Amino acid sequence: MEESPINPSTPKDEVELNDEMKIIDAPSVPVPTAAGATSPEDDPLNGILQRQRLLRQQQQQKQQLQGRIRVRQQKLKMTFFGYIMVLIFFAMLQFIGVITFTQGFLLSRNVLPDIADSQLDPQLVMSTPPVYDKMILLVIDALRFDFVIPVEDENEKGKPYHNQFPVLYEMFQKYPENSILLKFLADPPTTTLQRLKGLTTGSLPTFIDAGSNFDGDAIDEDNWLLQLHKHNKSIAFMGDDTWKALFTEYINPDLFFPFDSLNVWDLHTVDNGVIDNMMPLLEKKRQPEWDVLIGHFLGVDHVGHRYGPDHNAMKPKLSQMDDVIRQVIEKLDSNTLLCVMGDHGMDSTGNHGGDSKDELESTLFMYSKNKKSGFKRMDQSEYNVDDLGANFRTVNQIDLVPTLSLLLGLPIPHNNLGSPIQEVFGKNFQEASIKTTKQIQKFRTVAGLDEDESLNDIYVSIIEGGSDPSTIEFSKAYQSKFLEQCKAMWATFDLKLIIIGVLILFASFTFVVTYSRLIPSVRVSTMSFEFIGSVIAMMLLGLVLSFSVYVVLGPVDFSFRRCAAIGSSIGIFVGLWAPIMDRFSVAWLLHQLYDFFIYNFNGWSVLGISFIIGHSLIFASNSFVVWEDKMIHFFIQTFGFYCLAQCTIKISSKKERVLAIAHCISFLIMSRLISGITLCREEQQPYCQSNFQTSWWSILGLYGVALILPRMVKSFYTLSDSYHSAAPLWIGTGLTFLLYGNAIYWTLEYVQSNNGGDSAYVIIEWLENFKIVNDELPINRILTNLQSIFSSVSKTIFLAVSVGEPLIVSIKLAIARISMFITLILANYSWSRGPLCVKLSEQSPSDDYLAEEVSDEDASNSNSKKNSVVILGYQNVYGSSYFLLVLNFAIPIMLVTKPLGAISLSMLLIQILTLLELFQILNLRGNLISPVMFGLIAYQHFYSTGHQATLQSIQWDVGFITTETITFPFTHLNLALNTFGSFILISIAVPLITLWKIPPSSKPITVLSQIVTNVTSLLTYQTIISTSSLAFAGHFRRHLMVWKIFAPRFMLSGILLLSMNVIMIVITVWFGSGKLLTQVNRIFGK
Amino acid sequence: MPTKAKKSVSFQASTTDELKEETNAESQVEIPFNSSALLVPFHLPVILGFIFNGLLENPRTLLIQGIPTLVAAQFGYGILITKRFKSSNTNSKKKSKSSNNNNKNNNNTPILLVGSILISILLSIPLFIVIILFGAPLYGLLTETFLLSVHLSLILFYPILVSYKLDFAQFLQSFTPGSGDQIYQQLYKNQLIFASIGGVVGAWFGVLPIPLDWDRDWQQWPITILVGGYIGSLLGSILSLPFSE
Repeated sequence: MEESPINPSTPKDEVELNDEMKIIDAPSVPVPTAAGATSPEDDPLNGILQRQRLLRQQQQQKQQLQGRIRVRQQKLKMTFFGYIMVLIFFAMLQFIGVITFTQGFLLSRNVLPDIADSQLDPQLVMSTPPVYDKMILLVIDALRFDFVIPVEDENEKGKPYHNQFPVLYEMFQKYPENSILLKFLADPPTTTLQRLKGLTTGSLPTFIDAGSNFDGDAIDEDNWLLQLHKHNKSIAFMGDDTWKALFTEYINPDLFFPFDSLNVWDLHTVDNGVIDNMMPLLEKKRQPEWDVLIGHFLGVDHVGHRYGPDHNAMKPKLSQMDDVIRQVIEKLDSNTLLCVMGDHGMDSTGNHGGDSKDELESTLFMYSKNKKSGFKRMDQSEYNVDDLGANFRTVNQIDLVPTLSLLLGLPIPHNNLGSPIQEVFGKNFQEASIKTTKQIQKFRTVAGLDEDESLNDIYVSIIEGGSDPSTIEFSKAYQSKFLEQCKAMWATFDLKLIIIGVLILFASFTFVVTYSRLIPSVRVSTMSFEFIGSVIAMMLLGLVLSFSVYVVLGPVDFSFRRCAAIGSSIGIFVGLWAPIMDRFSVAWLLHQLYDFFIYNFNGWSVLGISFIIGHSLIFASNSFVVWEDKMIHFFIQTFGFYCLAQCTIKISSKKERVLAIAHCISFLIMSRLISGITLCREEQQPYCQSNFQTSWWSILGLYGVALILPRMVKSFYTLSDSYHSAAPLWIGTGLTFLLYGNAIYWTLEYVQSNNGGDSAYVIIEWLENFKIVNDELPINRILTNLQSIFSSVSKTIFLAVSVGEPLIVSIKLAIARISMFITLILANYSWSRGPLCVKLSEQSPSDDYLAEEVSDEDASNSNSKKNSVVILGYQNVYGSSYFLLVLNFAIPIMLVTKPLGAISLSMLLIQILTLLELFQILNLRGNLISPVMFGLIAYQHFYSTGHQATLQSIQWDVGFITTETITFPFTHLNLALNTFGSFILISIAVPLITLWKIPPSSKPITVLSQIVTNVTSLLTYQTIISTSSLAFAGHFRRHLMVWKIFAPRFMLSGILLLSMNVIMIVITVWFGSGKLLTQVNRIFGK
Repeated sequence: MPTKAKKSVSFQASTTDELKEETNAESQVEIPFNSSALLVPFHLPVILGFIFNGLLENPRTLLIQGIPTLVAAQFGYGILITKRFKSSNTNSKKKSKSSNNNNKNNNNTPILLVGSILISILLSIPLFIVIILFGAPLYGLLTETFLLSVHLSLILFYPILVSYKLDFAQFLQSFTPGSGDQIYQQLYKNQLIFASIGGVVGAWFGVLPIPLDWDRDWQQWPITILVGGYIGSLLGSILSLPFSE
């Protein structure tokens, strides 16, 4: 650009401004200047006339051009509109399918509104007056059973959570007649809301409630708080605000102190709040204010969520709990019953929600100073604390309900399924047990569940038995048997809805496969408006039909909404198929399919189809679902090696072959590295080792990513000579800067979560382990000096962190918010203005092998030996620009992903680029394998970013990256970006299969139709996976593992299908491809 | 748009043409031996049977013990292959270069066989890396993985090495880039190569039963893959028979 004879007045920057007119000017500029250079010297007047004529011509040309361009732009916009509408209809169809299935599959329990009333029937309460007139119930969230029993560790260091909370066991040993310690078995799902429902109503909350943990709705079932309220008792409460949603109306408003429960990063606010509000109430003079005091501590649970149980923060937290319980015991008077318990446990990562042993096993401790309490232990061998208390006596969590009710002189809640705890009642156990049996029998009768004659027989014999000791055993048998029945029964599925849901999804699959693969893509582009018309008409027809069916036939178990949904889905389906059937016949489509297998069938299509089939068959076996991550990796590597073989055999040019083989090998190595990052699910044990932890070297890796990733992307851009204008700004500046921002964010987070000094402490420890053999060696003296230096440094860091914690928090928030704002809003806005990665450059004709000449004709006309103007990066105009959009979304997703996951995602970007190069080299753009591979690597990165298809693996803590409390929509956005990050990236990146390395096309509609083909192909793939997953989940609904394996996987599939639809419509087609194609067409469309 | 795209990579066109000519000249690549039912590796299932006896309790030692047996059997198999070599007359018609090689190697059958075995054991290292890349565990089971790769390498590479008399150039001729469909013909007409492909496919399918939660002994790493490789190459060899001339 130094000497520019063609248009010296146009500086480089202006050309790159992407201003429409200037670029269009560029090709036509050489003509007048070339003419002007020769003519004025001959005849000035003639020259002026000529120039005027030329100018006029030029203006006319320009107007014509503009007119043509406008028409073409309009046409392009209409085509876009058509595609988007069709995709929206399709998404609606799938939405109805998934929702219908979900309603049939996720169970709901029939809640009986009956309430036990002891005024009507005094028989419901115990005959003897209650021993206790007050109760203190302390819930310590996530108090796993092995936290409270003595554990002898082999190695002296031990776990930070063992032997820190000894008070309960001490009391248990000391007062055999006044205390009892039991293992407390929760029912899944182990989320706090469900557990509170179970602990108060005595029934079994179902799975669908698990989703409402964020906004628990008031409880309308009979429960012992309600009973207390009815008996005019005053309930004081402090702690977890989940209780607020459930029980506000029963709690004494003067003694009600709820605290925000979901901010898991805050370890102390709730606990300190409980202690500060509880202790005054325990004083003698304030005791009459309450009858039952409930405290719910959350600290232990939050330590688990934030750091995991193995963290040092667990130690002081458990000691604090120990302290609190000791104080409470001290202040206890003789008429008060103390009850300490956990609502669930935690798994080895500190999370809960599922049904593994560690999550289910919690603690129950009851104690009273009253001499009359008369607790009666069973045989001592029942209370065996060896082996982490594996054989310790266990009671069900719901057993607490009849126990507390009867002890406090209340009737047992109507829907209770628990049995009274034997030890607590001592000699009164028989009466308690029979009372419970009567309550359960009543529940059975009212609920219409009393068909089982064998249970009825047992009941009759209990009633006839009277005070015979054998009735105790009968009662126990009766209760446990009925509980089992209920557990099995409340897994009632609505098979009709399940089948309809799967059928709708299958229908959507038949359409999308025809739309994407069987009809030529150019034909599809002309059919959009027929689709729109027929779908709207048919949907209305379907609605009317379903309405009339609803009115006339009045189906019993179908609500109107359900009828309408099914009607409109049939309408959409028919509407989508009608135009296809109008133009093509079934025979033609089948022939098309046959043709595909005969002519288009090569190794790649075989691979693509077998991957799809293989992946969809995974759901037929629970083991394969469990090991899905490895299976996906196996598929990906198969592709990689096939690619390698093909590159070696097929590519003739040596230079290209070497490049292609290098791409293959780097792809293979990268995906192996990625598959090394795993967070094992429980079922994968013992064959799997989790390594998804935030450690200092993963933080270091983030800095490595910030250093390397921009360079790698740059090198891919230079391959097509596209690293110009917008690219350096986006990649060189923006990406680098923001990635360093991410790294700093996670460093601060790491420093904060490890109390800063910890990492330094680790170094010191390591140095100390370095046995100093010989003090005289100078190296050892240096080491000793280093030790002292490090210890002082660590102390300084520790101090700085403890002083500067608020500072760190605000810096973290600032980084996260700035990064989110820049990437999601600023960068996307500026991208929508259409940045191109091209540069005007001049070259002598001899070395223009790199780029397309702009003006072939002009050059030949002037017949000069002048240097020609070339546009660098012309060959990859679309791809280079579109990838910037992918980067816009990659950065925020990497921010909300934990360090190892962010490293994996950075490799995802490289993998995408490598795949694109390979698709281009091997000419696979139109092949089925390309979108399938994109789908597979999305799954691979779902697993390597610390996720599994389980509810426990949702990384709730990233919700608080941009805000300190739960704020809609930021918390939710973070969680969505974290959980579905790889799928979002892949969904956005899929048009690159078409766009990468193609020059501007004069037929943008053709390019668009190819993009839509790839988008719908990826959708087809996901539709098959989801449909198969849903169908198998429905099929295995009675499988032992359904709630552990199949149901979470179906939820993942359903959400994925819907969110991919939304992302591809809104971001990929409408925003991304739309802006880019119109922009490039405006500039280059001649 | 594809026509335009070519412009940027114009150097490709000339080289392709050159290579095309080359390939046309050598389009009829010779298979250096006569296929026969005798060349079906019937010894493989026998060895597998020997190894399998006790493999379930202790895969590592049995795999190690199996290697000498396999080497001995493959040695014998190698002799069978050399017996089936096409006479040098037919070869010399096509190419003088290879006939020279033939004459040399024909005299050194033992060296050829021993060399092939050594080379296939060496080739087990890249194969080991390939198995790791496919997702073999990195913790604890590396020895088993390596033993597996030695076994597979002896089964997959050794017969090909012997049949081409360690002449890599001649082997590559059957895979000349750009020869298109002919490659596939070469593949299934060549009994030994097809057996190797069968072995690879067998090993690939051998992976699939591992995740199942049946808790069977034979699901241990790497038994299924080993069995898949053995049986696959046997089947491949048999399936190739009808196609060979």
